[in-house]
Amino acid sequence: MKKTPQDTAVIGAKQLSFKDKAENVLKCWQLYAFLLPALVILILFSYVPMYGVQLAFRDYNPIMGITGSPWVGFDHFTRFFNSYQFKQLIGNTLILSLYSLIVGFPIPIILALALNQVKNSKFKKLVQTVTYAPHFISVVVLVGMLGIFFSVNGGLVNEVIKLFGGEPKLFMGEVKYFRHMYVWSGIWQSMGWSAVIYLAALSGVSPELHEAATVDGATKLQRIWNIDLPTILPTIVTLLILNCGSVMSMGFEKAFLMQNPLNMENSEIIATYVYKMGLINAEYGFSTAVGLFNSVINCILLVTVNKVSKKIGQDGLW
Amino acid sequence: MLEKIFGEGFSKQAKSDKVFDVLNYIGLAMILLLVLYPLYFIVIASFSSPDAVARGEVWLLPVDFSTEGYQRIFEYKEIWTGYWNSLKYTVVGTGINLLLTIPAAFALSRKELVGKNVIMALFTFTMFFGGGLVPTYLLVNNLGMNNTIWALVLPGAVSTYNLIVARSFFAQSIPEELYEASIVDGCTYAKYFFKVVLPVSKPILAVMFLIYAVGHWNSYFSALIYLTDRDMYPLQVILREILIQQQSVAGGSMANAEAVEAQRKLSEMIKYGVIIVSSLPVLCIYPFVQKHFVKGMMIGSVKG
Amino acid sequence: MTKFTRVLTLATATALLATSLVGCSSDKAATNGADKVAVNVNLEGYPLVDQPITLKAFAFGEPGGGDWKDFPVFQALNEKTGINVEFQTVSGDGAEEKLNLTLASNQLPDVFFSGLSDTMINKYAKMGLFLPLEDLIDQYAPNIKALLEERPEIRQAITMPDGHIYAIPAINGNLDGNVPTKLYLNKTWLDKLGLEVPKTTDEFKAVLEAFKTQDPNGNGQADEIPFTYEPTPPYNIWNGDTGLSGAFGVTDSTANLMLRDGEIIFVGTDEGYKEYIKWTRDLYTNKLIDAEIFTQDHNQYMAKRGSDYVGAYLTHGPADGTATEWIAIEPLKGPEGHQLWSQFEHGIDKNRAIISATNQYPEATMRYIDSFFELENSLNLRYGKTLVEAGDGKYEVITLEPGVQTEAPGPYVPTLETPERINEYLVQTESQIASQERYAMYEPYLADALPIFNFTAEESQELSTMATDIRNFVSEKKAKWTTGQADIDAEWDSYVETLNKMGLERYMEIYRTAYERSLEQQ
Repeated sequence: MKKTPQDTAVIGAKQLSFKDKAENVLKCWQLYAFLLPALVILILFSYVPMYGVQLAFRDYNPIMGITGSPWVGFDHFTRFFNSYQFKQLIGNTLILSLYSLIVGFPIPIILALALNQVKNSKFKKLVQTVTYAPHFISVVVLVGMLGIFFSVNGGLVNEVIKLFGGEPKLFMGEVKYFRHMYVWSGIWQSMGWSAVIYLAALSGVSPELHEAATVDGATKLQRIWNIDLPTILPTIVTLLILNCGSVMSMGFEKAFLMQNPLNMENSEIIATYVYKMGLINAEYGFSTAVGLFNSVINCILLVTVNKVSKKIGQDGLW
Repeated sequence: MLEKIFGEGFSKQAKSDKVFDVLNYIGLAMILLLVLYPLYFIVIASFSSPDAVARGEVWLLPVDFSTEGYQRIFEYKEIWTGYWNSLKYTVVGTGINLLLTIPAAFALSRKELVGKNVIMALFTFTMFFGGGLVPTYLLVNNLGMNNTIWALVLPGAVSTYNLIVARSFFAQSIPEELYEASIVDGCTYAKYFFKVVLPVSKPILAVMFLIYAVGHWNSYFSALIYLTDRDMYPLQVILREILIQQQSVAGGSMANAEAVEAQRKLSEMIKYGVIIVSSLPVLCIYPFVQKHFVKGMMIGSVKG
Repeated sequence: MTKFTRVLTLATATALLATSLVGCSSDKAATNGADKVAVNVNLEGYPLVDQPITLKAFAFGEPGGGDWKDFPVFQALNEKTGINVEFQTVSGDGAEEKLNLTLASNQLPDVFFSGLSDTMINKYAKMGLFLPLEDLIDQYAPNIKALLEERPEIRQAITMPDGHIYAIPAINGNLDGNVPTKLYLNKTWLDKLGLEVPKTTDEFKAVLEAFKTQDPNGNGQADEIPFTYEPTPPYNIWNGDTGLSGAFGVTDSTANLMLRDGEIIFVGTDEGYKEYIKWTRDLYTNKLIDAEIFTQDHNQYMAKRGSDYVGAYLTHGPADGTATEWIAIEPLKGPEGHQLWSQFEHGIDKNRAIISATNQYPEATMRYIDSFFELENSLNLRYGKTLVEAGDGKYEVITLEPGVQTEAPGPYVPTLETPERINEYLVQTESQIASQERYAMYEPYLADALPIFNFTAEESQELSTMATDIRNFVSEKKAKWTTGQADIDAEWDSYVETLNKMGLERYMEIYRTAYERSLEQQ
């Protein structure tokens, strides 16, 4: 980000005395008033429920309430770490989200760069309108559509495979397909929408830069590499950090809906497990413990990635 | 001709750039088809007989053309109460979202705001750490919001991600000169925000409006948990019941096996049409808002 | 980093503050409901109470079955009994979640109708959320009391290991429900190809092969699905192969158990089970079984069942409304001469009504539930709109138009139906007679039904994770072996070893203890 005069003013403010600071705060009272409602909601609905994290160390009894239930120390954690599913859950969660990240992260960037090169505005608009649309489909519908298109009996994909003389494949069933199905359907749904943010950043590239480069004989690919990409790099880094921070918190819904006994080996992830143990098996303490473990890993990841990003000379999140 | 397809100045380009353009167009056209076809399929399937769809006979055009599915949808009362409820929740919810997010994002975009990084960090922290469902449920319950619209619209009233997007817009798209000029004119922050900033912030308002509204329209989980009165169910919950029926044999019942079967047949008949009908409001707003996406969606560092 | 620490501190501080705040409010919630109004309960006749009272009820109903508060039967009961019951109905998607959250919130309704498993009842009863009902039954429930005296096996089935009864059951009189799944064959195809009804597993395979290759639907394409079923929970009891494996001497159940020669055995590690899986693998890899049995959802299965593409399937009652003629065939005879089919205890539907400890009128509530066993109430609650008068004081149960609701809770509340009541008051329809004939056909081959197990709170706690692990693993392996994705012979030993690691021995020990306990109590 470019430095504005205000930036230096803030740096200056740090050396100001307490009194000046207080004056600054007073001057901005209207800004605080703007912030207040959002802060109230944040504290009430995000921070207040965090007291419930202690459930991870208690054996929950509704009559005694969260704060009154008996302590069990690290029992739930020990049970989780020793459980037959522990390794599998961690592995599945990590592989699925890393796969999503590695494939799903660059594709919107490439799409945005490609779209940015299109001069035919009608075509550009058409592609944009169509690729944004799946983002607004709900997950239920998406998984239903997967079942329809990849069915062995008359599903479109298998019909095409048969047309080319191949054997129909059990896409929704075999373990080895689950991750591909999950990740690529996700890409289908979100690549257009994720590209928007890069397109926005790309609109800030000044045409003069491109013109000058063209005069210098740079090819389109060279210009994309040397002008467009560096422009959107800060955006890329910010999103990458946010994504890395949530590596362990894959949403439960899609995996849950795509689960069947054939693919359970790969499709049971921490989120689905926490959900099942908590809301179906009513093991609140245990479920909270697993969730807490997950959140802690997330926070560690976030801090690490942010640190690394700063080390290699990029802006961090904070 | 080529100029028409590939835009002005195509033929003047170097050969390698021409090749690039052609490949680029082909690639994008393929992506276009890949995304478009499944959506198109839902449309033709909704006009075909359910059996033909289940057997995989529907490909390019409707088979055994029928509008029975749609007729059944119009007779399905719960879909329409759900529709009305969803509309209510979306309007109220989105209103609250915007009232809270936009001013807060503006405040956080002002560099002179003392403590903004700490506040921002407070928001960001909640993206990765939460108290869990049971404590949240107990809180909502204790506040007496169970089975009311407030349980759906208040807990998620400020989305951190959207806050970051809106803040980035204010920080990057509103020229600092505007602020300086209005200060010289003796404007307060409030006046500056309402008189100067909002009028030039249409893109972000449009984008926030759409994201939040679609979020409310598609959301079902809080409704599933907090609403107990069926008359209050939003469309998505009804939709889920139609699209995925689960565990209908909870008690080991036999008496109603035929009723379940009848309900299932009905669901099979209307499921494609219901997807279309339920997406209509989004499809209606979407074209008007779409043009603002590129200007509105920006993301910067969390720190100002 | 320092800023991050600062945030953490701030967050912790906020959280601590919040603890004290919410701590207070939840204490308050626990203390209300102290003042109780004295009501006299009539043991006979209506109204049931001498002054009107209101109860809150949690109703766990049929998915898509409608809101209980709109049911005419309850509106009538409200008026008749003088007890105004306000229902909160949950059903289908999210019902279990809502039930669990309601229990966790400690703001309990006065009575729960259905939805709770034994495990949950044990767990929450131990915490003190539910009332023990024995004394209430004794004093305020003449109908239930009479039934328990007449049929002690019911008392045994609903008494928890701690000696208390927490829930009132529904009693079914129709034996057909004991055999939830049967093997159906496409008679139209059979006749068209001039084939005999198969009697053995080999003959069955030959029929399926003919279905696959001889184009019985006559469209010139080999698009027939010779055989389909739902082999995995939650529908496997109804449309699955729990009985089909009987040709190899084992019948399956949700808990993967069977009762053989008076002993509980684990099906998943039995030699007969292994042979059965190999047989299905043979059918599957020869494409005689639907490729999607393990992946399709219930809707897809039901749709296939009603189409003209299927040659055989497993289900409770045949698909109607198709041009195809479906017949149930006798259980197949296996290569070793086994001919067995699974049977489930259906006479007692446990856990239909539970009274909360916070209920202010437990006596009146008990009497209210008791009145459900009276003939008229029982019929109306069970059949709703499907019940029509047939003259001579008899009734007929009709089939409703698609989309029309029964408007009754059906099997989700306690009701009493006995074979005597059926004979005396219900006219048998054609489809009911047909289903009884099917039952008669299967009866000679039925394996012993598993008893109703009642576990102590400790046992169910211990079972809960173990059971999930074991059952998931068994069905996962079943799927892989049947589809040929993994080799059953190569994996068998390590499979058994893994099950043992998951605690199979303890799992069986718990079931055997519970079984012995049930024998002693009889």
